[in-house]
Amino acid sequence: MERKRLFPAFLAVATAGMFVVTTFASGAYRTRRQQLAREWYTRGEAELSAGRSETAIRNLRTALAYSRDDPRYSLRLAEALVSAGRTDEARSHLFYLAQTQPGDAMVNLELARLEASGGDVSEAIRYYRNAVYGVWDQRSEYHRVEVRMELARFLMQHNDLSGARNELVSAAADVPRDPALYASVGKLLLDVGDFEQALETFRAALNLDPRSAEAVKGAGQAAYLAADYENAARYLRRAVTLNRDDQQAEQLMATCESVLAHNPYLRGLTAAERAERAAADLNRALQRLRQCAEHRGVDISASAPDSRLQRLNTAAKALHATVSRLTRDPEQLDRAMEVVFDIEAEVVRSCGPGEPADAAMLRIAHDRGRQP
Amino acid sequence: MSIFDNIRHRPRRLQPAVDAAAPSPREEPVFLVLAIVIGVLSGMAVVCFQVAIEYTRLYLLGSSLHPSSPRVFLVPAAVGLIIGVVVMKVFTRVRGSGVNQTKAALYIYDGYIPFRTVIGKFLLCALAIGGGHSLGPEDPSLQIGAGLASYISRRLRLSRDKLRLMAPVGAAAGLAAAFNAPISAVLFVIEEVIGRWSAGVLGAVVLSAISSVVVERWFMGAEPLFRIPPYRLADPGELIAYAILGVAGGFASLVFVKLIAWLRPFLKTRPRWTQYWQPAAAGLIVGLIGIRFPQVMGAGYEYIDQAMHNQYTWELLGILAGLKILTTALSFTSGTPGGMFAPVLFMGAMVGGAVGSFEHVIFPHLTVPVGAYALVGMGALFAGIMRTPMTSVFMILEVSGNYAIILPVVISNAIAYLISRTFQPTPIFDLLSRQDGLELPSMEEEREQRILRVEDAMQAPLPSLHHDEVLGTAWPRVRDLSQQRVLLSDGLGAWFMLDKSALAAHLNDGRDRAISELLKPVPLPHVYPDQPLDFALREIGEWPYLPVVHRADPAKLVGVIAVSDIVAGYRRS
Repeated sequence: MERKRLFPAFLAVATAGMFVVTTFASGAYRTRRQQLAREWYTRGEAELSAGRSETAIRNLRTALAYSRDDPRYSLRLAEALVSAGRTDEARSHLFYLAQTQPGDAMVNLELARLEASGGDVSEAIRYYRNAVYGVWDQRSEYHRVEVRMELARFLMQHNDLSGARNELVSAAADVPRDPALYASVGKLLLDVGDFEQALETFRAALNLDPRSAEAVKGAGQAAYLAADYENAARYLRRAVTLNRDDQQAEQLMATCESVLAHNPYLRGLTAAERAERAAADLNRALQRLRQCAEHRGVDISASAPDSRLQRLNTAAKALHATVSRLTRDPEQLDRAMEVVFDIEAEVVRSCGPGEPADAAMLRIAHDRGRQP
Repeated sequence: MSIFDNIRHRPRRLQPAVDAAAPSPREEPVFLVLAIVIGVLSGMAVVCFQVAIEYTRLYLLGSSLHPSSPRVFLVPAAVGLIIGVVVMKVFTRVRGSGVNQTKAALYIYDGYIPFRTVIGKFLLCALAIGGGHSLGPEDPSLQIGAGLASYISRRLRLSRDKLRLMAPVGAAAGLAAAFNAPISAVLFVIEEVIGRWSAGVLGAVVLSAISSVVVERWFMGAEPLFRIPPYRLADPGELIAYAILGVAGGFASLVFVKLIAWLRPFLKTRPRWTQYWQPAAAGLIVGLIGIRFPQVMGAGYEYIDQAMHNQYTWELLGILAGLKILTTALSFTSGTPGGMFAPVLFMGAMVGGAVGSFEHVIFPHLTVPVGAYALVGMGALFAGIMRTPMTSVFMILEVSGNYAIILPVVISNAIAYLISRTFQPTPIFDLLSRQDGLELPSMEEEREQRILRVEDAMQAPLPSLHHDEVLGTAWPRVRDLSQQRVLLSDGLGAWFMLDKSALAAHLNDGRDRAISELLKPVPLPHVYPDQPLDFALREIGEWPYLPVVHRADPAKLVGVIAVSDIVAGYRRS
């Protein structure tokens, strides 16, 4: 009877003792598992760096076995699996992560890339958007812009230029104070054809870093493509000054200067100046036509023209005779310039690119709405 | 006022006989509090048990999932050698199924499980599972919980009734902590150990299971056993794929159970000296297989996780399922202590994954993830081997936390269960207990026993009287009845019995008076046609027969039932 009365007290003491033992044992156990997970993770990273993806995957799996609810290990394993081409397995890990942490931006980004490589456009876009609005551990403003840029590139690949442009405009609005990032967004805006927005973006980059060669050149290109040749020439001159080896910028600058020098349609010119420029353009075109014909061994003075070069020569000569009327008759000026554009296009097609002035003529033709 | 008014609403059931073993009223709340205490203690014991298994594995096999070949080859055999000697010399009762030992405690030994068995299970199972034998920790956890509960109840000198029930209460706590799944543990104990739903037991079982899971999560965190991939049923046509999985799961279950059924008695009947060596021999084979396929060693939860995440090809999954069946059967039948739950889940995941991956190869457009097949496969094998259909469904729901999986699980489990039952009529736990010479009640047989009801045995209604009826008009209806006592109704649902001779005595002086004015009839219980026959037997007492009345209108007599009818009914069945 006495023992029965004492037993609850004994039970309480035993429970307390067991609590202490369990606390100690489980604490040590959990610490050990975490430690093992970290060790195997580190080994996995080292193997990945050494390019041994199979061993790395095995080590990362072991790390995950010791810490199943640590998303870092799952994510790293998924990345390693993707790089090893084991996309089904990677997808499974990523789906699980997306289920447990739907707001994790990295998980969504990896899934987006996986779906993009698998050709599932709508799912890829969905995951890219999730990544944009997801939670990043650090530098979230950078990551968001980078993901938008990646999404824009993906949309461009699938010919959705309007969607890409929307993403880039949003990205441009969110870019942190980083000229390089501004310049990257600007370049993509050039690719989608939004030159004004691109110019704005490059200007924003230049406000932060006026000596950014990339931004200056980008601004020049954007201005050039937006037919703002004065600004384009100004930016490109700066670009060439900043990087003397940049031949592309130099070429573009020369074209811009040539457009400014030879374009009869520039604002602010008098009728006489327009006519003068048109006549000069026609002369130069004729000369280039002859050089090209000679180079190709075509007799452009033949009485029965059978090639395009010959027909253009005949048309140019006919117009040349009426040069004096260019001042009075704007339509005649347009006709003369049409022949100039035709000659330049044909000469480039037959004999390759020529002087900056030739490129300028083609550019003016483009600005006049002529298809190349 | 009628003499019937006072007794109209009396309790229908008569006073039950007093059971000498029944608990005292004070014991009931103590029982529930004790269930919580046992849950807490079992939870802590299971945490320590898991820690012991893990540390044993780390020390013996190392931390890699692919241990070095010498270790894999030597450790299970060496561990088997130690276990063989200790089981034969020190802890002789630790071999065998913890489920059956808990059932034996409940049905045979008045709730007694020796504490020595608890210690033996703890130590030897940790050594066996940590040493790479293909066994799981759930069954031993169940027995550790049951053993603790039994020990504490004995010390507190609970009544025999409560003492018996405490073992299953502790079993539920142990299993819940091991599985981290309280609902499945409660259902398993109800389905396989106790076999009946009773409010008193259910409350205690639920309390202990929940408290043990809370304790387990407190100490070990809420990390899942495996990471379940997301799932949704995109197309009802996918259910055909799950039906195929059910068929595969059913036959895989059969192979495993048949192998155990053959191998266990074969090994038990070998000379006694071989039983020292059997665990070592099993360990040697497990080790040899483990050199090439380390996945089959131990409980294998980490590999279930990997199978759910498309790590293996269907060929490898099939091989792993086959090898796990072999290694688990060897480890278990060799007398190495440990459970079958985790290996069964492993087999299920591998069979499910293999079927799913194969279907993906044949039909690449299938959208169902392989992980979903692995998950459903676990349920199918559990249903096919353990033969606890409810637990198998709820376990998958509880583990996955995804109710979209219920339809595939139900279909697959039902098919696996039916196949297993058709080709292996005796469930594995009954098989094991019969091999051990114990005739424990088979829960499956009890579940499927046809319940005899009152309507199966009752006779056509006899003529009855109404209490307002005049004796002169009523008498001719009952005068020629062979029964000496006749039924009387108050027309409102209460029934009474009158002696015919007493009626006859009033024929001269009270022919024109109502029966209620003449006699004081004796109230008697009534039964309904759908009630079990044993209920009628308990109710009938000394009455010659009872009225069987309509449930919607208790004043309407639909038959009568006598003891002879009940006996005849049982004989006919």
